[in-house]
Amino acid sequence: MSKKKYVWLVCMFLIMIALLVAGCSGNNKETTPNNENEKDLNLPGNNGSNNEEITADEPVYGGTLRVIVASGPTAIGHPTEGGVARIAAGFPGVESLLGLMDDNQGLEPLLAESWLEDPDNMTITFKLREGVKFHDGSELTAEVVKWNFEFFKSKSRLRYVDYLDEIEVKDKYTVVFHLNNWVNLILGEWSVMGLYSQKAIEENGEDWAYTHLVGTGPFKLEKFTRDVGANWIKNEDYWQEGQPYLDRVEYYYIPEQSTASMMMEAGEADIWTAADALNTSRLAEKGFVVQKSWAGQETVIIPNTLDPNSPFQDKRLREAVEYALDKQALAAALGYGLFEPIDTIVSRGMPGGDKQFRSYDPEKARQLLQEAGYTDGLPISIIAQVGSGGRNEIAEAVAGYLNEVGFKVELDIADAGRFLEEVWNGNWKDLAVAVTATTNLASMHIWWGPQGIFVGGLRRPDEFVDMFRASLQLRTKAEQDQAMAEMVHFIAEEALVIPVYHEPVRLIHNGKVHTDYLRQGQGRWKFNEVWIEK
Amino acid sequence: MERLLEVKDLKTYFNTDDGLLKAVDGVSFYVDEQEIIGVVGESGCGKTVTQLSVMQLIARPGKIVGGEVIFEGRDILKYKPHGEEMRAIRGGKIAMIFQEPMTSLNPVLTLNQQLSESLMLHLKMNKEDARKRAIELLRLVGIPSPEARIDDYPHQFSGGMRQRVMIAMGLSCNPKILIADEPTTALDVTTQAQLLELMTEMVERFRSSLIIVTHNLGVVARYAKRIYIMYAGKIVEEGTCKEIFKHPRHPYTIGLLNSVPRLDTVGKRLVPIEGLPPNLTNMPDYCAFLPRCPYKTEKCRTSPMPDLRDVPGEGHRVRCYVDIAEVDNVTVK
Amino acid sequence: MLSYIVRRLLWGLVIIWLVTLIVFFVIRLLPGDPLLIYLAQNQDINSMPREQIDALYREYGLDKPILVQYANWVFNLLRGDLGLSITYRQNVGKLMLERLPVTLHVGMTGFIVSLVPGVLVGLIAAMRRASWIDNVVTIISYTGIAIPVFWLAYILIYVFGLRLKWLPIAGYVSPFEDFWLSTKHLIMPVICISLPGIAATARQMRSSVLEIASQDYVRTAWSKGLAEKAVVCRHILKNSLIPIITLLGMRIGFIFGGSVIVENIFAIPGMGRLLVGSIFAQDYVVIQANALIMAVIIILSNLLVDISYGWFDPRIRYD
Ligand SMILES: Nc1ncnc2c1ncn2[C@@H]1O[C@H](COP(=O)(O)OP(=O)(O)OP(=O)(O)O)[C@@H](O)[C@H]1O
Ligand code: SF4
Ligand SMILES: [Mg+2]
Repeated sequence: MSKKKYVWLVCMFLIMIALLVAGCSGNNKETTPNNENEKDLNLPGNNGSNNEEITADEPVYGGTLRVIVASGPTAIGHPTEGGVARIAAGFPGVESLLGLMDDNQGLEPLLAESWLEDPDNMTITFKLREGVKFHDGSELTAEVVKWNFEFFKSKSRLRYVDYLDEIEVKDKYTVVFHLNNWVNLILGEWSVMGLYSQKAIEENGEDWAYTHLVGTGPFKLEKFTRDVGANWIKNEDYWQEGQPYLDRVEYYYIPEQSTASMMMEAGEADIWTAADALNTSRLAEKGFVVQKSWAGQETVIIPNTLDPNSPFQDKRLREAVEYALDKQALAAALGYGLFEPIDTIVSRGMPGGDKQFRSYDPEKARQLLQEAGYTDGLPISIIAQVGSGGRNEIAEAVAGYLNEVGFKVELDIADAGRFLEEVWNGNWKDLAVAVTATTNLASMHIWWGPQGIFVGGLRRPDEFVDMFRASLQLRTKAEQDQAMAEMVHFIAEEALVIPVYHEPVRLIHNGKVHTDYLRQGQGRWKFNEVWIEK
Repeated sequence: MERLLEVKDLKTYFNTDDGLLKAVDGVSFYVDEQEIIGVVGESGCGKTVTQLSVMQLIARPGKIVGGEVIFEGRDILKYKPHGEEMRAIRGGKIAMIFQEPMTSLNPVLTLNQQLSESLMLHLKMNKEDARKRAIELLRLVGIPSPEARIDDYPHQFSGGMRQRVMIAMGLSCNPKILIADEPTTALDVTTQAQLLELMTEMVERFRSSLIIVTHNLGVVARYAKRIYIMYAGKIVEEGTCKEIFKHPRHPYTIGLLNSVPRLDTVGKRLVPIEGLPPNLTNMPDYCAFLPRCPYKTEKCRTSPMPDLRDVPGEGHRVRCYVDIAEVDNVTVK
Repeated sequence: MLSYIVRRLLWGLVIIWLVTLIVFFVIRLLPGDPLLIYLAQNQDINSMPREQIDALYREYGLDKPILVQYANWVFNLLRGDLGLSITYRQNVGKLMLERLPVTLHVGMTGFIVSLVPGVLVGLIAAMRRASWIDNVVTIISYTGIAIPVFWLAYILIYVFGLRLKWLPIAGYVSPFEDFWLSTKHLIMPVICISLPGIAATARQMRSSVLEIASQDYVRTAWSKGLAEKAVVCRHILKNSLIPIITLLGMRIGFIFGGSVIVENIFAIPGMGRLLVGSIFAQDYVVIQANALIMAVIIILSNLLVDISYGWFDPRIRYD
């Protein structure tokens, strides 16, 4: 009997081997993307400018760009529905009044050729580019812009809507937003919202817009299939002369990392924007090009500083957490060379990110714990959102470090629903591991502002709130960056949030694609400029 | 005169986990045209295996390891078990009825389907003719309103009825020999009698020979011309029906007779044979019946298995050292 | 027969009702709030005024007591309205109409593909018992049962998609759009869905045939002088299929279970993928509808299986 089993095992093994060998011997011609890629991967800084290879050649026309993203939107052409994925999914076909400039440098003209902020009269005026046509032939006019914003408003999808008094159509190409209050975030928020054809949506209805898209962008939506992908074809009437270069853009929504990875290797796609750290480094070794952005996500630990009974009311304990963590090692272990340790809630290149407050010092952590009176150790709980395999590796690693210095950590791995309820919107016990994204004043506001996320557990001291209020009135980018740095430092000084590491947004391509997508930090993709080598 | 079927020194062994099982070990018998013979023995003595060997229907782990089966002058053991020639004989020339009427018919096929297939195969009938013939056969074996019932399934019939169907099926192609392997064992006494009556009537009508296999001597008493007594894979006594009943020579036969209700023993207690049949895997080399034999002598223990020897009486042979007629003739009354 | 079907259908309704009950309450007992997830997804949590959020809760009836919610849902169901998806903000019936055909296309193809070779292979293995064919079949079927679906999927993708480049790695094309391309897309998912089925069917078939082959009536069939083919086809096959049918009834359930993994790996827009997304988003409405549809399909297919027993086995009576 046991002998029989043994024979089976051997046979099974042989069959597997045979299968693999059969596979390997079939066609050894691999898609071997060219050139200097490790350079990108190992780039020390992350503040833009890792896309030099583009400048070398002249763009060529034609070709199809095939893009893998992790998931598609639930609706593609509806101005407000579709979830977060809608915005990225619409990049080839949708444009906004202003566009994000490269490298986090602010805004530049796009559908509006100029704009004017007038804090004294509390107006923002946009002068539209003339002759811009939607894919259905209708023209982009001030009326259409107004209609779009009324639509956002009617769906409660306009941030700072309370500040808006009226939208005035001054002339065919001039639209004026009249405000009742002034914050500097409004421009950045409103001017980058995608604009859709009023005619198309009014004629065909909102339901139609779930699967159809009519924008002004360089590509027209040919076909969108939920959870499959989207096909785009060149917009021959695009308003920028000589652009776009590509004939077609195809998006594939591939949820599984391994599947996407093999599609890249098989040459079934040119670009993949959602590779995890492991696959990124794996494909980089195989010769694919990795581009990193200055933008990304910051993993942080947030102690509950609001609950009067929380031990983390004591700053020494919060500091102890930071001293206990070897962020360098953590980032290296989890990030395959992609992650970078951070010293504040923002990454090292961002305003306020360049100052270190506490470095790895477990002895100091132990001592602080003692000082705070926890000589026998302190039992705490860490809540984290469930990751792959029902685990959360970062929380596990953090727990390991904290246990070293005298905390007794109990992990609480929550599913998305509970995590949102307890951490984003409610109250949690002791520590929460959260993933955030802070790059400018606007995102500061969303995440850390007085009405931001984590309001249930993160204390915003009055002093901080005041700094915040004041920052919203600042005019220039430099002033805003300065204020942001101060706030970032405040949080770090108080150890209200314990930063861990930064995971840059990146994409992987086969070396033939020319795009500077990530210089705009995920907020915009200039598809009109993208081209692909023959 | 040439025999219709002559089995010579047939040996069929099973390769079991406990060792070699000699289910049939040197069996010889014959059947003449239109003759009825009986093969009698206790359960497990190898009757069925003998008959299945004749049909070459022994499945793994069994194997016919020796002997000849001469049918119409040819040794059919030389044919491939699933070859054309053997298949033509099976069901066509030699048919067999099995001992379990409840399970010997296919539950998912109608009587028509099961009857017709032999007719179509061996007699090359077409569907309609086969159906007609099947109805005819069912009527012959006494199934009431056969036209109505021919499309019924076996589970809609009683055990006795199913065995009638089996008889009809066995005789359907007009075989030379019908082997009835304990055809009545599972049925009640009245039905048994009716079926035996029917069977003999039918073989007479079809001019077939009949081999009745049974563990009950009483069953064959009336019909069989000659009887073979089997014990532990061997024939231990053979002879005409009359001889066997009048002058049984083997202690086992005597035991069998004593355990059978007979007219002349009415009122007497039936005496079953004491002890159990031997395990066929590790047979001793002396007489297999010895442990149960009331007549055993020292010679029986020290000598090898006795051979069949002729004794007085027509074709009467017995496998025993002791001449029982001399020792005792009170045992059988 | 008819009364049997009616009775079974009525029972089916009871079971479906129980399923709805369990699913409805269990998903609501879990921590988390679908609207919250939806709003967080859109980063609307802190831009949407409280009244607006409350209005959303009202729109979905999530402000009502849970029993009222249940009553509303059942009432709408009876009118044929499956409700409005929270994440998709579209009628779930419409979503299901997009998804169900895809899953059925992949699943049913897998089902049929697993059936025929499974039965044939099992039959051959049994008829040639202990031969090399039997051994190979046994090994492969053990492998097929033991191998995890995702593992098989990646081996297939690696071999046929990446190395040989014979098949597209992922995606789905409707057969009405481009039949050939659709079929090419279908091959790997179907193998993944059907291989465990082929293996299980083959194994079951093999033992079933072996059992039937030793039945008295098969001996009877041999004794008639029938050729092997006739014995197998007429006497063994039909009888040995009876236990297989039971297995098939269960496989329908497996197909929906398996579609979850397969649809995610091969990026197929079916029910399984919708379900995964909806569970992450705790989209009650979609999860409920999904469970409901699966329950209906499984109950109907089991009824079909039970009825087909009657065809295979005349001993079975429906009363
Ligand atoms: N397939 C088999 N495998 C192993 N042993 C077998 C097989 N078939 C029969 N035997 C053995 O062969 C011997 C003879 O069996 P057989 O069926 O011929 O007995 P029988 O005389 O017909 O008994 P019964 O009156 O019970 O039918 C028995 O000991 C039985 O155990
Ligand atoms: S040979 Fe001896 S033991 Fe055997 S049957 Fe005859 S008397 Fe009995
Ligand atoms: Mg028998």
